[in-house]
Amino acid sequence: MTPRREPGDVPGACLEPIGARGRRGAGSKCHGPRSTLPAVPRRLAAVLFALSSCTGEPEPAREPGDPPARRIVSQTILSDEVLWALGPAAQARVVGVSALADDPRYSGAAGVWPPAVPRRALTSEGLLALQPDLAVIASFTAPEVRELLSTHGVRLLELTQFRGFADYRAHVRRLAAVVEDPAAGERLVADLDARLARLAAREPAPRLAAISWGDGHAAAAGTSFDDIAEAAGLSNLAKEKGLEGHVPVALELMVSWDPPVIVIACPAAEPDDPACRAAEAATAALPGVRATAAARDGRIVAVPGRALTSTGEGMARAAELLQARLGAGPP
Amino acid sequence: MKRSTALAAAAIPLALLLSLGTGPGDIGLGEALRTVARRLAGDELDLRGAIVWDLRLPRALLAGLVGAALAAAGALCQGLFRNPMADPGVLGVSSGAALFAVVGLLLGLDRAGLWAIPVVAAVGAAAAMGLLLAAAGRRASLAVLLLAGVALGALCSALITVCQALASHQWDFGLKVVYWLMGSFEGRSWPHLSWALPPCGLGLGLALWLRRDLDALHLGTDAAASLGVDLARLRLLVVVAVGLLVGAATALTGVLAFVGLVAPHVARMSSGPGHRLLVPLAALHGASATIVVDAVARSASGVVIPPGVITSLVGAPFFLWLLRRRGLRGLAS
Repeated sequence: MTPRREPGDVPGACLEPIGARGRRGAGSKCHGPRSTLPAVPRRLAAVLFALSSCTGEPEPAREPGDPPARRIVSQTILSDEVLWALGPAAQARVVGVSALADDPRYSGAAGVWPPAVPRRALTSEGLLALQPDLAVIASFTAPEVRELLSTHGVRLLELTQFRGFADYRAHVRRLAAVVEDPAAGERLVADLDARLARLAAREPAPRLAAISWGDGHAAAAGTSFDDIAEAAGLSNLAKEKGLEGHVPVALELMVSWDPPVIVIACPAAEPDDPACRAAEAATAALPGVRATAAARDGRIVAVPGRALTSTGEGMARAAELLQARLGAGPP
Repeated sequence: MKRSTALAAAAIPLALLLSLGTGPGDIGLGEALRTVARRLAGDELDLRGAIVWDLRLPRALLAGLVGAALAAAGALCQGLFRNPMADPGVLGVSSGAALFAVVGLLLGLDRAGLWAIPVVAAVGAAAAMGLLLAAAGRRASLAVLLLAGVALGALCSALITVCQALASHQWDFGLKVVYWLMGSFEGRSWPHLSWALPPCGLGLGLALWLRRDLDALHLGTDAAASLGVDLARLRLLVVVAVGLLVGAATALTGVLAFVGLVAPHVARMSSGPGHRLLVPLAALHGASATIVVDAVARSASGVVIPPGVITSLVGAPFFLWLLRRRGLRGLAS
């Protein structure tokens, strides 16, 4: 089982400073195996596929002597969200955000970036045209695009580990350091910790076991849902069964565990969207599910995908929604 | 009934027993059988009972029905085209079902309910069948019909790729498409079985009814015509039967490769080339094989191995072995 990270831990973000044209910086630490997730749940795919692992050694966001990043192109939803949340000083340095930045199904920053900020897919020409000095990239960025960006002197910051709040705190601090506004990063972290403290103060009793399940996969130990469940005052049933990561759990196996709470993602921005009720009804209609405690007690809970699959602030939102639905006391 | 048919028929209940006693829910065959008996007696079922009655039994029956449908469709195609390499996919019907299913997923229709994608895919199968008949013409030769089917299948595959390319930024859509195209019985239950029964029943009935004409066609088109076979009518009915069988199977479970190709050849080893025995025997073999494949797929709880992948993994080497043992000419006879 993966040990839980604490706020001071460092996630596996990889920054590749480029010294000379035509070659990657000698300090590159992104040499771990890429995307070694054993399986990917469909509902979580948007984030997990984008953010799958590159287990390099932890590395400071900026190496001594690096020029500050003044033209940043963000190519992950998490960095789209964090760079916006860091405030005007950080936003002013962003010259492009990801193509999914405005998709409310995935992005917690949908609609906030001004139209003048280009939305860019991961194409080399599209990114280079923005003349960035730093690209925040994802693990699935094509090696050709990485090489081309590097060749043209663009530093690459690859966010790689997304296992919960500790990694989020560290990613915030890294991005805040890159935009030279660490105080803004600390404010975001403090906001998060205050929300988690409020959640902990109204933890429901008894502590229910919940499974985050969708299309044959569950989120077990070492996933962002593990932290979400704990923050909401729930236990992660898949973790209790000894599973780790995002793992296949057949419908029959999930039903046989008789989960008291089934958490699913719904393709909507807000929890009161009819799509969330429809998703709950669709899950309840799956064969065998109506016999589970979750269905009997009305505890099949749909959470907007951009919160449940978030690796950023949305994790706290998901925990708050879960706690609210499962009958915790008022804040 | 010949001995081979009796043996093949006996294999189905054995496969069903294996399937009922297999699964990640840790419920053995004895408990599963008692559960079925209790439910048939009208008892209410608890959670473990629901696993047997709502999950295992209907998906095993559906696997059998789908396997029989694909195998019978394969026997019809091989008989119509007098080509041992023909499988139900050559007419493009399954590709049409797949295209419509992918478009349905792209439009988010799967959120409307469990029925949505199967219904959309069935419409796609029917549309592909109609397009095939319109493109080939009622009096088209077998070669024209075959080439029209291949072209239609290629067109549908290209359009599926276009859909995936246009929505490449929607990773959840991409994964749904991949999973659907791999074929699966996961989550299928009584409603799916009830939707599959009418078209599959009609298609199997047609397949059995056409056996005599296919036997005449085996002698050649001229000989068949001299024996009074209306070739245009035979082609039309075979296309309709294959469309019903493959369309329903693909719509409900995705793409299951090789069942329609291999099962008729296995049946032919014991029945000979005559379609009177070949069609029912292929259907029985296809049914039992698909039930077993699904049971094997479910027995591995730590990984997801779609039945469509297993049918390919088992079917392809088996077919190569058959080819080596009997040769292409031997397969045809």
